[in-house]
Amino acid sequence: MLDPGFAQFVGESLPRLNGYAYALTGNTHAADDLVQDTLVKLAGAWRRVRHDGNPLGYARAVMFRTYVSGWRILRRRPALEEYRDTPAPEDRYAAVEARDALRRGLTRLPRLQRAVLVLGYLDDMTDEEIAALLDRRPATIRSLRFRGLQALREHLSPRDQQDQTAHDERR
Amino acid sequence: MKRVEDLLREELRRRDPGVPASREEMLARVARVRRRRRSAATAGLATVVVGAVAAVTVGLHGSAGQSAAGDGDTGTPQYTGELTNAIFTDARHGYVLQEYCGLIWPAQDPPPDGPTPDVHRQCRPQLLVTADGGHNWQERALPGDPAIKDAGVEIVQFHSLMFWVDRPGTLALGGWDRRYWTTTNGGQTWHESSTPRDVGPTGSLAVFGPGDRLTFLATYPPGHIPSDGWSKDNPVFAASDGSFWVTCATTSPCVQVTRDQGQTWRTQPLGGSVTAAEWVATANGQTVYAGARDGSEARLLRSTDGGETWAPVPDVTGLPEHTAGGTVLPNGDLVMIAATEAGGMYRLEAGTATVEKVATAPAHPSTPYLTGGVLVAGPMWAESGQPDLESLVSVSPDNGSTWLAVPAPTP
Repeated sequence: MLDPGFAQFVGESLPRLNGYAYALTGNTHAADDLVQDTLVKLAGAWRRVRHDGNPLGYARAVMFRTYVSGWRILRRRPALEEYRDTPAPEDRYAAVEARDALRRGLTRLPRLQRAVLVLGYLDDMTDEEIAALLDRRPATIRSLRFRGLQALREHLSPRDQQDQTAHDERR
Repeated sequence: MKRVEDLLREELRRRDPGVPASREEMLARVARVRRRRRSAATAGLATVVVGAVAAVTVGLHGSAGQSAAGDGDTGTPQYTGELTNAIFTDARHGYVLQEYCGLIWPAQDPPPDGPTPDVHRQCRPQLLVTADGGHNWQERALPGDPAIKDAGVEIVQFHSLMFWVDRPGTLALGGWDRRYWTTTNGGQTWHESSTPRDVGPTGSLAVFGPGDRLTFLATYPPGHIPSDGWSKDNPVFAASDGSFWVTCATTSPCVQVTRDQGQTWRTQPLGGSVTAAEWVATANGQTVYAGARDGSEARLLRSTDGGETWAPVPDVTGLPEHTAGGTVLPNGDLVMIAATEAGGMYRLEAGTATVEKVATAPAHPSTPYLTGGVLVAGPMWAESGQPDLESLVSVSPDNGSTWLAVPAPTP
């Protein structure tokens, strides 16, 4: 039987943990698996973590480190389908297309870059805070953030051009 | 155009339409993993498992395969059993398509900023056939592997559209690249179709209709979007009057129904004080049950006018703390599954208000479904870890009173 305090913590923190996990994996079911693996680790250390007083912070660190360290995201099913590379024909879908391109770009980032971007833009953490959480140097985090954003920009740009070309051809 | 940082911040904070595991389901999963690990540790199985892993890995990969455990370059293999679908064409003749999968993860963690490495996952599909209502099963050869992506239709975990009734007396197996095979003799021989499998009109939603036949609903229910290839649960349930039902994808407590094959969908609020609809179940499209929540409390609602009006089942007792799915049986009974640490299946007999646990049911079943008059319960989640897998699926020929475990998938 799990500790009642642990069960209460799960109830309170599950939405946050689900949010992190989905941002990292981009897939609801892979996110469930990542949350599960995180909580299994947390349950094993619950007595100590509870006394430390910041179980959510501990869980977040466990989750990101687990993900970065080569977590078995593909253990049940392929993690993500390839998105079909067919831009929507109308301009009113531009926002949807940008989201789609952004999600596609995110899935193609190396895990550490993606983790840095999630912490930086979901939780607005500074490079120093991210460095402490992921056990890296701040300069490394700055570099990863820069490279991650650069990759996303490059991923968005060709798509914009593609959309424009398709638009021009229709006219 | 917005800066990429702003787009990213917006995207990461957007709520996804997918439904994550509930608190109860997650606690049950965590408890189960910890129990399995504890039992393996206390029984001193580690040494045995290493030996068995090597043996099974060699068996799974065949003589030409590279042994995962023997070359020193790979990590601990992990094994999963996965149910594709179970079909009964009548009370005696049943077919279970399941897979035994081995996954080899590199022993060394990948470089932190490097790409995700390839994961070598290999599965052996297995078709089991019964002619005596599930008491005895025999394996039949398959012509190919069931697709797990790029199939043109959504692949539903444990009740997948990769194995269906093509027409009366004909079973079909969907493979990769929309190939498919049919059999008219219960899987003894297979014939490959010369045309790709039908995936329906653009924008349509493939679901199981009556008789395990594929049905294409013209549109998705409003708010629902195509998944990323496979779904955790069956999104839509068919009733015998031709209607199809689903809970709303939004946070509003409502259900949606179509009575014209998906041309139009009607949204029907559950009303009252409930805060979320979690599942909907009906056999005839008139008496409809919905599992709901009122804050943290579970609620069971019923409509007897095809979903127009809803009211709590009066004086109901014994409802589990959290229910995650239900099925209405032909006799009017409602069976539900509990997504709690204890798990289990529960029954509300027609005309009564007392929910009772089905003592003979599997411990942690997924939402059961009816096929050929037989009730089928898969696993609530994919088991993984040790090479000796447990049975994935159980069948009940008598509306859930007794259950027969189908043999576990084997390498």
